[in-house]
Amino acid sequence: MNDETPDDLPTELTRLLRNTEGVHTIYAAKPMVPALVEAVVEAVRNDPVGMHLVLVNEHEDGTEIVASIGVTTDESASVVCRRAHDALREFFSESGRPVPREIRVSVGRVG
Amino acid sequence: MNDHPQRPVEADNSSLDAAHLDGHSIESLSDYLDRGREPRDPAIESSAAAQHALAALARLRAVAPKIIVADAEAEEFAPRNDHWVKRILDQIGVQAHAGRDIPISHDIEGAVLSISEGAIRAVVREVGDSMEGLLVERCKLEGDVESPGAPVEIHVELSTFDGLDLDEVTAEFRERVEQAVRLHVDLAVTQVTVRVRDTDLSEEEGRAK
Amino acid sequence: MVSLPGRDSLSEADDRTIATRAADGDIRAFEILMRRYGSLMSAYAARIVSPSEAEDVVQDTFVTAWQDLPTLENLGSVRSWLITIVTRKSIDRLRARRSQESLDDHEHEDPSAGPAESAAASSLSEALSKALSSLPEDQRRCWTLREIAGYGYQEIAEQLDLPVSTVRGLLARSRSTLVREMEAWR
Repeated sequence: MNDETPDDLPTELTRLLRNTEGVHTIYAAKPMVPALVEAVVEAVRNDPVGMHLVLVNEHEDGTEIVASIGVTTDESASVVCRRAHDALREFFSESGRPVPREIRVSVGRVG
Repeated sequence: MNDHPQRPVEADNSSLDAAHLDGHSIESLSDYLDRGREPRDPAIESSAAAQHALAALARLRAVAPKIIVADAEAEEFAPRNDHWVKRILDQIGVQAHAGRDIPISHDIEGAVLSISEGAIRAVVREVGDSMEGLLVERCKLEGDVESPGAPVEIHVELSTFDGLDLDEVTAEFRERVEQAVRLHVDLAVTQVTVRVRDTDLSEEEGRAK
Repeated sequence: MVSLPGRDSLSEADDRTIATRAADGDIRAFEILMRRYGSLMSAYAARIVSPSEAEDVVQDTFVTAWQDLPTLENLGSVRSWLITIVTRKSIDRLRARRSQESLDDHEHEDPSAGPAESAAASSLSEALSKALSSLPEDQRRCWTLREIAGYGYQEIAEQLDLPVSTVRGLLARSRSTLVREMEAWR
């Protein structure tokens, strides 16, 4: 991916979450079936910088965003989770895009 | 004699020199050894040369694992570049051990927030790790964690080390667990039960308990 | 991250405790297991595939082990369980390699088949290690599967896709060489 190509939405959202205070890791939002594990192994071997981890699902009645995060221990996980959600929501409202009908954020690990 | 091992000038005096095995082949002797010397072969058992060879083969077998261990200790086999492996494992682990979703409230429409059961169990483990002399082995959340406000019990199995005041340590552990969980999520924790596996006992005794 | 007493206790805990934690989802415990047995598994895999492929095989092993650990009933036997997985992955690798090259092509033999030859061996194990490295690939492989993994002749034959008689011959030759080296050391 060169500098001129704009990042796609999942990549932008993944980066956004990584930069949210209290978030230290983004985990795959999709369930890891065996075939997917091998794909992940290959992908990480070839490109260590972490992929489309935030899911963007387009439905007829709106967009659904799904994210799984790891947070640091020094703050309440609930607080960081809300913060992550709000950051995602703001991304849409501030760019004039329609706000997703659902934003799901799950904390997968603390610390 | 063992400080400066030297190779003898002719290295041909091997116990396994085929010419000197009383007609037995290395293959058949190897087979015999691999079969545990059953059924007993009188011809082999009565041949001094064959016995000598079997003894050598048995010695080699005994030293075999040590070769790999020695290799492992040599620098060539220290694992390198395993950062990405850890990242893979992290991804797999978080998903595989997620368990149920514990809801996190947020008064914004469309927000569906949660923390995984697995994450809370890891928090409990971490509490044990931060305390001296005890180790959380297993942890379970009992109750309907997915319903806000439903009563939840945390069951912990841990092991402790010698010389601790168990009552004091487990009381402190319980309190720290309640605090840590409360910090991160809204759960109606009614009880933290602790079962201690006594590490003074031998393994068999521990299992019988 | 400061090392706290509890954490130190974990790295000194026995296999069963570490494996129990890892099976429960504790990745730090699994990392301890990897550090504890990574070199051993590497050294072993290097004797079945080759030193240059051993690292990949061991990493794949760890990914599988992490996923399957919750199914291991006797967590105290995690060490031998790991060796079982490494063996399987090593053989899978050989099969994949075999299906890509002709049977007559021996150029795949790794010239650097083991620890550096430069220094003289300072122990019997080292001397045998060098001798093991000097064996032809197929002899070394059979010997390792037999003496380290404890495979039977039939199993070795099946896994390496060789006649049992060939396996027997390869084992006899490898043992000959190694015994000669072992006795020269005394």
